[in-house]
Amino acid sequence: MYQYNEFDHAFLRDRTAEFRDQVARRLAGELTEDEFKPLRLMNGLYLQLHAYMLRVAIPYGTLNAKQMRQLGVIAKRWDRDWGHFTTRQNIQYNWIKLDDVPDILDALADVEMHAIQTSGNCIRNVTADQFAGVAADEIEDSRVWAEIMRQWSTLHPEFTFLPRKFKIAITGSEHDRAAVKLHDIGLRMRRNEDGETGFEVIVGGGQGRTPIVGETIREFLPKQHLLSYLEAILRTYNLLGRRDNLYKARIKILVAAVGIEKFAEMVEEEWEAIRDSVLTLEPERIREIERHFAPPAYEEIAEPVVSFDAARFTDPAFSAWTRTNLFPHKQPGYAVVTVSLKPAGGVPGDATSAQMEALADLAERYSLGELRIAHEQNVVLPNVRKQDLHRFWHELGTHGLADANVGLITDIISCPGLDYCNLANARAIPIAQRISRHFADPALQAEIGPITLNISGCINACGHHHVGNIGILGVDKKGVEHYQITIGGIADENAAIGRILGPSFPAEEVVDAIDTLIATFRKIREQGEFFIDTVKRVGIEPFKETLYANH
Amino acid sequence: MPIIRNGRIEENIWVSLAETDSSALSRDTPVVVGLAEWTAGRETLIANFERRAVRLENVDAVEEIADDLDFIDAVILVFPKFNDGRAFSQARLLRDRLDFKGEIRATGHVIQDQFLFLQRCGVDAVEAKDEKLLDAWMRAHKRFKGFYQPALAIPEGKSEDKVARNDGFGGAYSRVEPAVLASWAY
Repeated sequence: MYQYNEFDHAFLRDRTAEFRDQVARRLAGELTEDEFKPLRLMNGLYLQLHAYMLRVAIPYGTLNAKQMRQLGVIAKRWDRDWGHFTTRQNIQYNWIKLDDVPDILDALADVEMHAIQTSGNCIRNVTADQFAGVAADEIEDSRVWAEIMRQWSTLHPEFTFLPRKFKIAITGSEHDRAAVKLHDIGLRMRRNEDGETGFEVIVGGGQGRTPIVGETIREFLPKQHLLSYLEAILRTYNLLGRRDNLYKARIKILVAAVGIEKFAEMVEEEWEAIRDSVLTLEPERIREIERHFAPPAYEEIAEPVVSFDAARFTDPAFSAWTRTNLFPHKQPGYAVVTVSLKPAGGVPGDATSAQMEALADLAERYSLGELRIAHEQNVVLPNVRKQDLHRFWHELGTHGLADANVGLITDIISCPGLDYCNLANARAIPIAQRISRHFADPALQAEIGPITLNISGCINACGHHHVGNIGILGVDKKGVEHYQITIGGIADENAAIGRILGPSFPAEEVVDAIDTLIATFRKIREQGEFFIDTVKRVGIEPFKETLYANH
Repeated sequence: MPIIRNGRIEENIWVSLAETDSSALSRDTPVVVGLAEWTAGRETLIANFERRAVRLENVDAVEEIADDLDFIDAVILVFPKFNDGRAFSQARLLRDRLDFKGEIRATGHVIQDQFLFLQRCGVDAVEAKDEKLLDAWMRAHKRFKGFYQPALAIPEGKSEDKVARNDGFGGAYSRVEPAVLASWAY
């Protein structure tokens, strides 16, 4: 993991002091709310329906046990004893007092954390594959590059007042777990013909009211040029992006307006002028960052691990959990574990301070002290020895964290919706809760198989409904909450935007509608076929017909 | 409106030609013109006045004045709203790309919280709403001891008159300084 040096520590202290001063000026009336707003947003502070909400950065989703424990302490001391992990690999606290924020930022700084650029029209917290560094299918560890981008983008003098927010995601694997095609800039680590690693650069993706799958502007960018290329893109966007209309200000609108080829040309021209500038990443600098991400001290463990296989054989519940919640590790004898934050009837992504404390303890004892936050709103313990898994799973169970549903229909992504958010048109959480209760039977979930179901409470799509295999979007219909359903969305390397099936449903009919879709799928699927593949094969018509048969 | 430059308040001596009867102005009056006026009358302006500033709106491309920079003493960049950040890139291009050594001034709605950003993009003067805010601006100037990413070096706080731009003051701006690089946390 990246360890702060003296510079990082001093920088955070200065930043916290700056914000303390800004809060004081706001309270003294020296800053107008209009002036204060962008400043507080750049420190992750929102004014929501009921209270201030503080969004804390978890850069590329990586944190250690100490940090997780502190997140729990903050929840207990300054919030209502829980926090909400989001699709941006952040944690949000919903019940924060403005006066407390500087103290919370100090408490975060104590453990090398902050809330810088978790909001605002700047380069947001960089997101990444939650399995980076440990995934067996990885070309290269993308955390190194995510960290380099974190540093480069932190209070970047030129790009802190962009036309609109700006999101960058990176994946180091062939299989994309970071939804890179749905970001302003997506980076995929690739190998060229000579075997060197570099980046495929994708721009102009995003969701919201204009969902677009990003397009590639460069097939292969040599590593040392990453920052100069990013500056070229950002400068082009800063100068030419629209500022007259909030809804047309994202880079995807600029790319769509000028065309991807013309946009690529403009970026390349700008890049030519700066490619060999001081932004060039010298190999020794890259190595310095790489050292922070050197593999931990793994034990040599022979496979197969007999005790693990025996436990799977004798304990069916454990066996089910290993089928859904484990991922192959690079290192023999180890597994990557996803801990589900999606219990039946629960709020997706919510964790109590006791659960955060428990996860911190478990990470120390079983995962070499490390944790990750997945954009699916789950927590990952990346380094668990297979021989420990059975005991580990039992312990998870005592904290209500042993649900065996990762990748299944109850592993729902959901935004906070109208229960918390100023922007929402409809509630999202109660819908997620009802659906997860409806499909709570593990045997039924297993039979349905891998599927993604995403819910957003408004068109801004924080719940990524556009790219859910099933997407649910809350809309306001003459003052009544309704839900529009899409199918066919995909967030990985084959990214696609879901298609709307038809008129929206009132809240009380949503569960039945989803049930109908699933029943239709089970009827028409081929042996072992996943939901998304059935939709690809037959299109949306069969689903549409059964869904609206009685309407 | 007073100007904060080199860590102190300066009188604004620059006169906007559009708002004045130019025939009444002496040759040594420093004058400001918009991009259109500059493009249309650059020869006359060069002949009639010793010091000339061009005001760029944030939709104006800095490349428009790229060939004229030897005849321009100051570029004034406009912030219609403090969170419209186009001028940051304009300033950066002027200093970094076009090697402009003269004054770059931010005008319009700028706030002290942006001071470091402005300076690191090459802006060396800002119009201040209020002279009393000088201390606050200078506090903002000293807020951070180092930065993550390379950008333009920040000028020292107070400086004496003898540090004129012809002494290479702007030169220090125009490239990233080793001291800034050292604090880049890589």
